[in-house]
Amino acid sequence: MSGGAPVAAALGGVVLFLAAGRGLVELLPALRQRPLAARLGWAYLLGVAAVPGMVYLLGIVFDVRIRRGVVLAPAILLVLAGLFSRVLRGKAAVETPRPPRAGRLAARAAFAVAAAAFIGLILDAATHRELGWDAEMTWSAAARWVRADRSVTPRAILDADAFVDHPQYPLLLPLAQVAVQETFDSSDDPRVIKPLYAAFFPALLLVFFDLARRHAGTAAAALTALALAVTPYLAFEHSGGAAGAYSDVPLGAFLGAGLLLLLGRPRASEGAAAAVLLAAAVLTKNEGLPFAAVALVAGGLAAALDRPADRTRRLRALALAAGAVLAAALALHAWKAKVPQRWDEDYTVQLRTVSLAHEAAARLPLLPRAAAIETVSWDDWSGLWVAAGVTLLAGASGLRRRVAPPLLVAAGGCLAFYVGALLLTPWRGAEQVHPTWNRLLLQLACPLGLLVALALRAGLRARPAALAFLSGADRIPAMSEQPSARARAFLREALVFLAFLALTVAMTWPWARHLRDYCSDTGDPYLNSWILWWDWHQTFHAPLHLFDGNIYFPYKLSLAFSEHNYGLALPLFPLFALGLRPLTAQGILTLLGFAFSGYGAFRLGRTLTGSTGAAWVTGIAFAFVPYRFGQLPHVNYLFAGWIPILFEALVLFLRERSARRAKWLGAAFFLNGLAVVHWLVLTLVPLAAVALVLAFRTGVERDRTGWKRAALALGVATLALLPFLLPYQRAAKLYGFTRSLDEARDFSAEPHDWMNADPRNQLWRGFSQFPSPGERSLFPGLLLLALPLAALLLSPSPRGNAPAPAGSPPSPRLLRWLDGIAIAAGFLAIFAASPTGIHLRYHGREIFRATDPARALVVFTAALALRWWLAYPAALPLVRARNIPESLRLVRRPDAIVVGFLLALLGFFGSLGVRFPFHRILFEAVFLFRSIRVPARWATIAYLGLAILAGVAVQELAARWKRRRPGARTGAAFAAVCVALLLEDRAAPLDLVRGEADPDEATRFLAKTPMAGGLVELPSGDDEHGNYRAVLRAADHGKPLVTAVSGFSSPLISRIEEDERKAPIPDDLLDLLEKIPTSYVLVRGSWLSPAMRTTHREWIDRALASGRLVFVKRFDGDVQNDLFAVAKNEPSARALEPLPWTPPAGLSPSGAPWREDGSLTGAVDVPAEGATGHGSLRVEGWARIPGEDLDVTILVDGEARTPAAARRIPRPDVCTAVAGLGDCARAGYEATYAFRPGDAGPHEVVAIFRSKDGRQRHYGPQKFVWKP
Amino acid sequence: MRPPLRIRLSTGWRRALPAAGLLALFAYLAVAVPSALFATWARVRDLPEASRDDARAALARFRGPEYAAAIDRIRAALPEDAEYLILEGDANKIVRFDLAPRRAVFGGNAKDLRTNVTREKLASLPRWTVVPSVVAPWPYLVETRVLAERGALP
Repeated sequence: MSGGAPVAAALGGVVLFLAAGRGLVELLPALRQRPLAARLGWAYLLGVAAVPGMVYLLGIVFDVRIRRGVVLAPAILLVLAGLFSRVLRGKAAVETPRPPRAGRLAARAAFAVAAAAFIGLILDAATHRELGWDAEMTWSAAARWVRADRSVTPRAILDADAFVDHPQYPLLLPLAQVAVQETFDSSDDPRVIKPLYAAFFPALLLVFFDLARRHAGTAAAALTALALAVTPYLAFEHSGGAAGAYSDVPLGAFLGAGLLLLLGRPRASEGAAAAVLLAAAVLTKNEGLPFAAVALVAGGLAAALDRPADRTRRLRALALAAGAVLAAALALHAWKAKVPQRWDEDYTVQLRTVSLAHEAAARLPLLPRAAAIETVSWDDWSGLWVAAGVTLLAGASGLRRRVAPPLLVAAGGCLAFYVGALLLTPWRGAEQVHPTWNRLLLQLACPLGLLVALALRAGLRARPAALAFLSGADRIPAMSEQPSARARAFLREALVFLAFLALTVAMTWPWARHLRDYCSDTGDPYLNSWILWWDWHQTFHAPLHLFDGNIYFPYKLSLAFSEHNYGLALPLFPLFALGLRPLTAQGILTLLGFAFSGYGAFRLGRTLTGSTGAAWVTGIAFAFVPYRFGQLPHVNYLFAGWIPILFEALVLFLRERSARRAKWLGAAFFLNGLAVVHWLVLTLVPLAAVALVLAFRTGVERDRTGWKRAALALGVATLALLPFLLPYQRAAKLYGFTRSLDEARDFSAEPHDWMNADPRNQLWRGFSQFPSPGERSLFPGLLLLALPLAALLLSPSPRGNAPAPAGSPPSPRLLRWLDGIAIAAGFLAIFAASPTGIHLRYHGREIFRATDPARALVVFTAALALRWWLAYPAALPLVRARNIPESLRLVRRPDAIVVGFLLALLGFFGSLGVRFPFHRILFEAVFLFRSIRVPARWATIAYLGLAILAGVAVQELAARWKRRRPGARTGAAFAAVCVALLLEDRAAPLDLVRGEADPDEATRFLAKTPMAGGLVELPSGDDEHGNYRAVLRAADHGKPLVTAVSGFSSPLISRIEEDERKAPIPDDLLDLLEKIPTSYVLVRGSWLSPAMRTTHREWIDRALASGRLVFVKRFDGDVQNDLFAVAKNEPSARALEPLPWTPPAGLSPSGAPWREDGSLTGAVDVPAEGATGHGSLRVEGWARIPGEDLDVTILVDGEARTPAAARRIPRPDVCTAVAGLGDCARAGYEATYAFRPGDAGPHEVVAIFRSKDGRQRHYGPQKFVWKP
Repeated sequence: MRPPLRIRLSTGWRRALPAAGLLALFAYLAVAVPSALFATWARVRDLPEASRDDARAALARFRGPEYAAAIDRIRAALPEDAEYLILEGDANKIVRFDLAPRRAVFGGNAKDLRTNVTREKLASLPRWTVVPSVVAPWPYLVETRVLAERGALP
């Protein structure tokens, strides 16, 4: 069968059941009045229940042979019956009430996403063969036997000797498989029957939505259906979900639909449908019968709780369903009676032989944990049940409805039955929970889902505005609103943030899937993980010594060697408290960084433009600008959300200079500075500029009360920040930490860097200089350049008149002074910039020197700015106003344009760093700016400005479109630009690496080991790994680490790294380690090159021999983490195991040390120097002196390794070549070593030849490459 | 008698609490919706390649070409209504499915062949034995007689 044929047959099978079920639906008035999508869902379930169900019954009762006609007859019968009913009845208009707008939106979203997921699912089903373990073991194997023998009792199942697992499993689904294959005469290709199972996915969701909306409303039902649709287990799991061929999704659909029908107010036809479905549940899986019985009990409870007037109708439907369940159970029993039981758990036998009380006492305590592990499994459920649990707890008030108790009884009853079965299973303990618990959750998806929907309904009713933002609510929350309005606003904001989070998950895919231990690289993410952890750790241990980190021992203030990130770590504290690994926390923060940056920009855009649509454009443009993906290793520089929030707070304050808004301004300033010191520094000038410009534009500059409030708020915020800033000043003073001009120049952008795209960007990566200039890749994307231009060109600029001057004209004398200062400073700057600078001498002594123009430029700029602020020179051409404030008032463009333009301009000039006067002056004149190593990071300010302008541009375009076409919906324009931005900024799928989230064995040992000094990890400063791994591990063991890495280095580390690379390593290094003081040295053997291994081993051997180092233990197997104690600082340290390699020096049999003697003759012939060996390693050579075959020890990488085989061999060729050796019958040696995982790569072999009189010779090393 | 303790939430909390549930669900959706869409996209992306497979190529893609070839050899040797002995092994259920509708009879563990497959029992045992494996040496057929004579796998 070719590739396309199974797809056609598979889809034909789905259509077959749909058509048959559609006929049945036509016969059931309550169902045929449902909307089209719901009817399709019902049709599929009823079709699969009815057609194979009838074949099954015919087979059991009449032993009918299964042929195409037998399959098609019931299907055709149902189709004809439906048609006949339709013709007789005539076409009646179906009227369904129109749900509210929020409900419609939620339903559409759910439908769209579920449809997309179904497309993926059906394509997977039709093209991939994987059925799942149980499917191959049970149902699909049974289908093949049934089809071969054309009987529901095939020989394989009846023959007690045949090897059949679960022979008594009901055959409804295998018969459905056979029905498809027989109808379309297809082969046994599993891809033919997989779509049959996949189609249960939409059917379950449609039917659930159709039934749940009656109880919980459209929005809650749709959201719950959406939640179920996107859970990985239901859709894409092969071993239980709809992507495989297990019977759990079908059982969940039959059972859930039948149960929910009974719990409504079922009409007779609904009762009939419930009867068919529950009977199908009985015939689908063994647990179907007890679960159906539980459903009937729940239906009975619903009847008991209902009004007496409706009770009769319910009981009638219940009786119908009970009759069908009973009939199916009897038929199944009759069939099982013919089938010998074997290869299965026989619960009836178990019940007789096992003490239930004993099993309960032993197993019940194990079950909650095992079930919890499955329930919270991220790969399976993506957090569905955690969210559902919170929803249920929070919305418990929604469970007061009458349908809730029967639902709880149904879920609880099925759970009780499941637990009972677990107690009886012969599998030990809670072993069976792993494969079965998730399937139980699937089987109970409908009742559990309805409970969640009821709880959600409570949430939606409590906050009817919850979905308002989806429908384009534009209102900006005011601080003075009533508490309930504020709560609604909070909810709306939370939803916006979540939307950005969802976009982040997509744009950073597949990070969210591997959040636990993946990162962008194994460098700075490790350092940032440590910083976040240290903030958390030290806050609860010694908060007053926050900056005294446990890295860079024995230096103090090591947290100040880089960003402290305290404001970023704070929200992660609960995660650390829950035991999250530092690397995981760093990953979570990275994703939150994108989302929060987008949310912050969204807020600023909304405040400036008053448009939600423009705000989305601003948020998306800022959040996913390509530069941010370049900052993936630097979570702090990626996390820029406080910047726009700070500017928003400023804008809000300037609009209403109340005490409350001043407080918010101060808080935003504090939080921005607490999060990232860089952003505190880089926002200072733009903040002042925006404040001045907006204040003078709006004429609020004279509101002294307002300014005092702002000054007070910002002053308090600055004071609060001081404890987080002063340590930097102290560290700089203590260690001389300042950035040099050259260093800053290297990271200052050149204008063409604004055309360098980040290499991660999928669209523009070809437009990047090679090699990439790293953080100087500033290209923001074409849209973010074009849209701001459009904003400047399109936005209206009505002319206005400058308001009359409010104050008296400035003193001419003052103006002349300022002119004089500016001119003098300007000339000074020009001459100072000359190659030689200015040197004024008097009698040979230099009395004045100016070689750097920066300070003169500062004076020049300040004098000029002040001069123009007071009054423009009369000679200044093309200027209408009298001074800068008047000019600002004359600019009539919207605030959004002005703020956006200002930020873009300052950010752009700032990014040019010390190559342009703007940042150069700040660098020279303001201490804070000398801590900025990468001025190119100013680009973030520019991106914010560009993003604001982009929002304005789209707002203006949309308005123009609206004017041209009054009926047009402008939301589409915003959405289109958002999508275009996302596509342009796309970097997914990201190239991530798996980080070392969990501590290794050596780290766990160190964590428990007291230390008087610090830890040195070697190799240090390795080209490939740096010291990042050691820093990450310092967050696990918490001990002082000497060999660290951060924003600045230390002379101690430089010295260690320098000495470590010398050959031989000087013994001075040991002196240094003792002096530091170092307690332990951890040598990671697998990271040492052969050359370094030799020098390290020699150095260690000497130190061991002299007793200054003590070998403690080797950890982590082939990683070879060898731990040594520095005896002077850790006198009580003891060896826990022998040294894993043979030291070159030791004692000879006579008790005296071996004497190195180069005259001992021998050789290593194989492997030859530089050879490449594959598979087992053979080492061959000879070692003999006249009259004595020398003892031979082979060292591979300095260690005596156990050979797979070793022997002495004759070497007559040696005796021929070397005279006087005597008998060479055992002069040769040969040893073979098995290849082990991790062996691939360069190695060296050394042979030690030893004579009986205590002499030895080291031969080699012989370098070779070992391959598997 | 002391009245039962009842915790009464303030009106604000009573109204805000259900909304927290809503937020929790939205947080879940924020993560799960993109994941589901990416999962779909991955399947759409793989479609052109996988859709060209016939039944055998699909099996070879799933279990490896050597396994598919081994199953083909056994299928060719055993008619569809034949019985065969199958030995214990992790793969015996997989191999049994791929050989169905041929009927399997369980032959026990390979190390117990001296007990389970003896000359005396040969008459009641299927002629062929399948040694199941989804890795090298892959599933293969052995005459049951040979097993009975040797008491071990060849």
